[in-house]
Amino acid sequence: MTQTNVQTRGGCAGARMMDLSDTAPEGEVLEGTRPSQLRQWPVQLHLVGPMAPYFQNADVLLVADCVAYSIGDFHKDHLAGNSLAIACPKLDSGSEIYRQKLTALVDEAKINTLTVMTMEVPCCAGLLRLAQSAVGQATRKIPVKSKVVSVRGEILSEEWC
Amino acid sequence: MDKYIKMDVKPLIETFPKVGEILERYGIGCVPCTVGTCKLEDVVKFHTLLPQDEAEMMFQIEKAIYPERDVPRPQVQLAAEPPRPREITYSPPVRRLVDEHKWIKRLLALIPDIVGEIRASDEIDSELLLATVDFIRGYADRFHHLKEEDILFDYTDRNATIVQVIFQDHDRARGLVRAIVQAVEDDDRDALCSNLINYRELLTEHINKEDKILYPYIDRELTTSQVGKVFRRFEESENGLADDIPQKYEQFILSLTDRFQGEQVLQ
Repeated sequence: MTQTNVQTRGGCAGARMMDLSDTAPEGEVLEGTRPSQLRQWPVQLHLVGPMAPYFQNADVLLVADCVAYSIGDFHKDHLAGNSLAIACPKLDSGSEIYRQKLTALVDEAKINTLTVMTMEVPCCAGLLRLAQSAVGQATRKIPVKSKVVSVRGEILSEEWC
Repeated sequence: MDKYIKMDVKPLIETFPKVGEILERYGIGCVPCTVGTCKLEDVVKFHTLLPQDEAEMMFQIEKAIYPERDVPRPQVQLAAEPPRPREITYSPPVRRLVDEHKWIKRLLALIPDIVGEIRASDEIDSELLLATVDFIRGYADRFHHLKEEDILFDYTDRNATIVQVIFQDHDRARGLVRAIVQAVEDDDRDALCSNLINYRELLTEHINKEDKILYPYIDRELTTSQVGKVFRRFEESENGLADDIPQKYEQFILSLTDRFQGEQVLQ
C-alpha cells in the first residue's frame, strides 16, 4: 500500500483520511501577502459576546472550524466586511449555549444577516440547523444564507434558507 | 448592426418579425410585451444566457436582419470543464414579493368569473367591485408595489429599461383601476368588463416579467448586506401598517374564490 493517495473507505465522512497533495496546481508559485480581514477578537463562538461592538447591526459569518483552511482566499472572498464566529458542530460541547448566543446576536446585537459556512461532510450540517433553530427562536427575523464548501475549497452551493 | 442592438425591441420585432421568433426560441418573451421599450442589448443582458447560446442567438438575429450578409458563425471558447453549478435561489425579501404575487394571481384568475357575473346580472354588484378595487389598491399597490418602488428599486438602476418598463406597468395598472371605479359609478358594464379584462392581461404579463426577469436581475446584483437591509426595510414598512394587513386582503381572496369556485384552496 502506497503512502500517498490512500483513501480509506467507510466510517465517518468527516474523519475519513484523504491525501490531496498531488491535486495541488502544478507550477503555482505562492508569493505576495494579503492583509488580514479579521476585525475582531475572539472568534470562537463560546468566547464571543453578542454585545461586542463589531456585532452590532453587522453581517455575521458563522463558520465551521475547518472551512477557512480549505479556502485559499477565505479572507478576501468571504471574511472581508463580515464579523465572525467559528464553531465545530461535531466536536464542540454546549450547543444550547451556542443557540442562545446566536439568538442574542439576532435580537440584541440586531445583526443584519447570518451566513453559515460549512464543509461538505455530513457532520457539518448541524451548524446550519443550529443557526436556523436560533434564528427561529429570535423575535426579530433576518435572512440566513448557507454556503457549503468542498475539501478542495470550492463553493458547492450558496443559497438563501 | 449597432443601431439595431440599441433599438427598442418592439419596433425591431415589428420590422423584423423573425427576430421575435428567435428571441422566443431562447426563452425571451419580448413579443407579447405591451411596452417593448427595452433595447435589444439590455434584453440580452437581463436574461444572462450561456455565452455559447448568446453568441448563437445574436448570430441568428444578425442573419435575420442582414440575410444577404456573410455573417461568420461565432466561435465561443468554452472552459475546459464546466464550472460546478452554484445555485442561488431568490433572496428572502425578493421571495416575499414573489409569494405576494400568488394572491394577486388568484384575483386575476377570478376576473373572468367576475366579468361573467357582471354580464349575466341585472345590476352591477358595486360592493363586490369596490371591494376588489380595495384589494388592488390596498394589497397589490400599497402593500406590494410600494415595497418595490420605495425600497427594492433603491438597490438597482431606476433608469434601467426593465425598471422603467415596470414603472410604466404600475402607472397603467393604476389608470385601469381608476377607470374601473369610474365605470362602476357610471354603471357602464361594457367599460367595466373591458377594463377588468385589460387589468388582468396587463398584470399577468407584468408578474411574469417581474418573477422571471426583473427579480432575478436585481437579486444577482444585491450583496448579502443589501439583502439584509432590504429585508429589514420590508419588515419596517409592514410593521407600519394596520394590524389586519395583509390578512384581511388574503381573506377577501379566499372568500371570493369560495364564491366563484366553491373552494378555498391557494395554489
